[in-house]
Amino acid sequence: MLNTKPKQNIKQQDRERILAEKAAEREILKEARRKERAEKLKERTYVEEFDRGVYDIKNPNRYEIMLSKGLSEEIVREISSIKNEPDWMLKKRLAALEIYQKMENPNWGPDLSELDMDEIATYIRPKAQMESNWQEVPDEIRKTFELLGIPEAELDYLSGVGAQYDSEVVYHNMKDYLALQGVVYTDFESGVEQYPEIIREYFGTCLKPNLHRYSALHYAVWSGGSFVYVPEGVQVDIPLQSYFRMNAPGAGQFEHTLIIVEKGGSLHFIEGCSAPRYNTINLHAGGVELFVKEGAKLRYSTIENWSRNMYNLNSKRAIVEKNGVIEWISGSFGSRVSMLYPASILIGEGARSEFTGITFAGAGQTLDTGAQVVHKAPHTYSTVETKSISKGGGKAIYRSLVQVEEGAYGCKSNTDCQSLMLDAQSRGDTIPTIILKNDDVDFGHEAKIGRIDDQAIFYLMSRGLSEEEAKAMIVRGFAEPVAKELPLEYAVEMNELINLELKGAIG
Amino acid sequence: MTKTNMRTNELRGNKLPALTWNWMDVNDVKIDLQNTQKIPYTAVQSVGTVDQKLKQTFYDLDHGISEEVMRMNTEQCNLANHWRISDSEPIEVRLPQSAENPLLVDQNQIVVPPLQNGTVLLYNYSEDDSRVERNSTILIDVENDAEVNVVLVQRLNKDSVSNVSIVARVGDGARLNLATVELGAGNTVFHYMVDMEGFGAESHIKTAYLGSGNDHLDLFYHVRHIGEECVSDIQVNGALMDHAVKKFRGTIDFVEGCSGSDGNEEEFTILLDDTVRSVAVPLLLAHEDDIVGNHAASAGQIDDEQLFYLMSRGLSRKESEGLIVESRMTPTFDQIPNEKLRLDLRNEVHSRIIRR
Repeated sequence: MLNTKPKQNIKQQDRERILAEKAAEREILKEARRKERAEKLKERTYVEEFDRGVYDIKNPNRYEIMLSKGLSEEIVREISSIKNEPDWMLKKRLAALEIYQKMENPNWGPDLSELDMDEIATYIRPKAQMESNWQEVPDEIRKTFELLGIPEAELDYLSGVGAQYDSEVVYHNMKDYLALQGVVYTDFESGVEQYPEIIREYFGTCLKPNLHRYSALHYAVWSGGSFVYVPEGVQVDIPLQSYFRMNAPGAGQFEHTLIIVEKGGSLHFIEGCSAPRYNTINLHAGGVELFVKEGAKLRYSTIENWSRNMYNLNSKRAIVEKNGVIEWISGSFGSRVSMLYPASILIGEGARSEFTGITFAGAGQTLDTGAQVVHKAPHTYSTVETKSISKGGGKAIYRSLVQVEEGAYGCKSNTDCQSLMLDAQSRGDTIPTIILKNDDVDFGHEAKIGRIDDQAIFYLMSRGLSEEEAKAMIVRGFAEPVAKELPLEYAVEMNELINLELKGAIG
Repeated sequence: MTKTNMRTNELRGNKLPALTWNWMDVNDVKIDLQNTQKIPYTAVQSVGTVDQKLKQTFYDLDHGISEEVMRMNTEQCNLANHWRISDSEPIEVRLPQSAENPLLVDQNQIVVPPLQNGTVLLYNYSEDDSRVERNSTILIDVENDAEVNVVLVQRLNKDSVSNVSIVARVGDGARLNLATVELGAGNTVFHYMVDMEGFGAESHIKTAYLGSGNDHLDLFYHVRHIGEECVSDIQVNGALMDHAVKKFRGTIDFVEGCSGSDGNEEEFTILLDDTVRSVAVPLLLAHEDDIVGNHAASAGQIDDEQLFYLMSRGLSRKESEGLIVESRMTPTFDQIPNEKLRLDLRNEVHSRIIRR
């Protein structure tokens, strides 16, 4: 109860003595504890920057069209005319450009001041036509994608693949039996040409140009990307994949992905991103719009391994209807600065969203990632599970929003985010926001930051494991929930990456 | 929002240490201090003399709610207290406000010399229905191996505005226990910032609140671990009913060099009505790897099983709800060194839940 201590009545000279004693004891303790901690640190082995291998392969920069750097109305009009676009699309682009010019960079989050749009080319067409026969893709480009494992993946595992090189899609293919069922998988330009009604109805309605500055930029200069349409009741049993590769230095990639899964359909879509390293700044501001209809299911996986000169300001958003399910799998490894918060808007009763993400920030990287969920309908459910790891002065920031609207009763939401820091130079921040606007909500949020629990190690060791094995087991366990959700070839790649970086690194 | 919140001359404060999306309106909060005159406060006399040098040192650390609010506090100050605690009986100060004392702008300094311990209770309440304002700053300096319990109880009426900024510093092996109870004021802005500078310094915070009517509560905590092996925790428990809005924004900041530190924050909200709004922003900022930080936030209705159990024992539904909410606040109430006040607060919480 009451914690007022009784009078101590210590005499003045005793007081001084006690204080001196305490101070001396503390000095000894401080030294001892510092030593102990230093011992722990010594046990760590530091892993140098890993070799990004095939990702860093640069190709000679051959292109057919490269628009001048910077952004203006002429450039936007030129992109539109190169693409032979309908008038409504040009109007959309110009409206977005106007919004972009009015908006400022955000006053929160990572520093974007180094990003100078005047130095970035918004449109580059590689010297290639879009092909659906792999052998006809120009040698250099084909070789790059082969090294990245794209065609093998297609043979073994995928039902379709699209590959984008700089601003244009260079290869697109899908298994025939899916086309017979009415599944559409094509590059976005062909989508605009062949399915104008659908695109016009959905384009820009989920992800709006006025969302933020780089969303406006995206809509002004978008190029390439994918359009996927899954008709009612069709289950696409093996994944579709698209791969984005940026080769030209000082360029921007602004692909637009629009996926519609009709009532009762299902799809797994995989997105991979990479670019070689240059000393100039590149920008990626893609847009992903997902429509999950009644009872449909969509899994959207991303492994992002951009080079460390990339500003990855990507926007992703899904609208989920009654009993629909959206599953996000997101791995962020590359880029210099990332701001990526996939959003799920649950508008139908019983809609569900699951987000699983891992972020790995190394030296010089600021990866500001997370998720947003808006519960707009009753009995909607969401889970967010994220892991962030930072090392070598890297900053891993988890930023999220869970919002439950008025009238969205019986919603459940659970968030679990964990951060692991491998050295004292790194940063691991957690910035979640939770807004609840009605009382019938079951909400939980948990976050953890720090080093491995000694007790966990002790427990495993008491079961007969060596200390090293115990630590390794705990670290694998940390990344496991994310790794197991990834498609096989990506999971292997990610595990290798993590193993390399984590080996013995936790004290 | 209450009508008194609608004003043109906008003053903002309690800015987050790390900003996030602007549209969510959680980066800062509107301050509703309308009185700009210096009016005397006659209910109690000042104690001691404010140490200007100490004040400056603390203002250099943190500007409380905002620089502007701090400036108003200095200019309009009508009550200044300075306590140097020496193993004494609990200090209890009652700060009534009424039509006669519509403005309380108090500066308080609590200095705890080495190895001393003590308790300070500041109890601010309304005596009538008139709109009153409070703008308070409390500086707490806990020197080596000292311990202090600071308890703040706020029961102003619904038309009133309460702004309290606490800035504290904790030395080697010292401990600061803070308990706050927010049961009144239609507009409450609370700011707590602590620098744990010493080796093994500790900061423990317990808050209980009950928001009803059109209350707007902003509870802001910023705990900085600077010294090695510091321990901190934040526990916020409360309930919301009617159209009350609560924003909890707590940050545990692990500054580089605070090796071996351990920080926890926990926020639990009971939602009693459909129309309430609960916002939580529990930040963890880590610049140091050899630390452990945890946060948990949860919100929901009263647990059905607990309710069922109590009702099966013959209590009415409202009575049971009252008991459950009251029990969540008990750990905070237990810190109050005045039994009568403790009982009073329990009764108020209970009857407000039952009468709703």
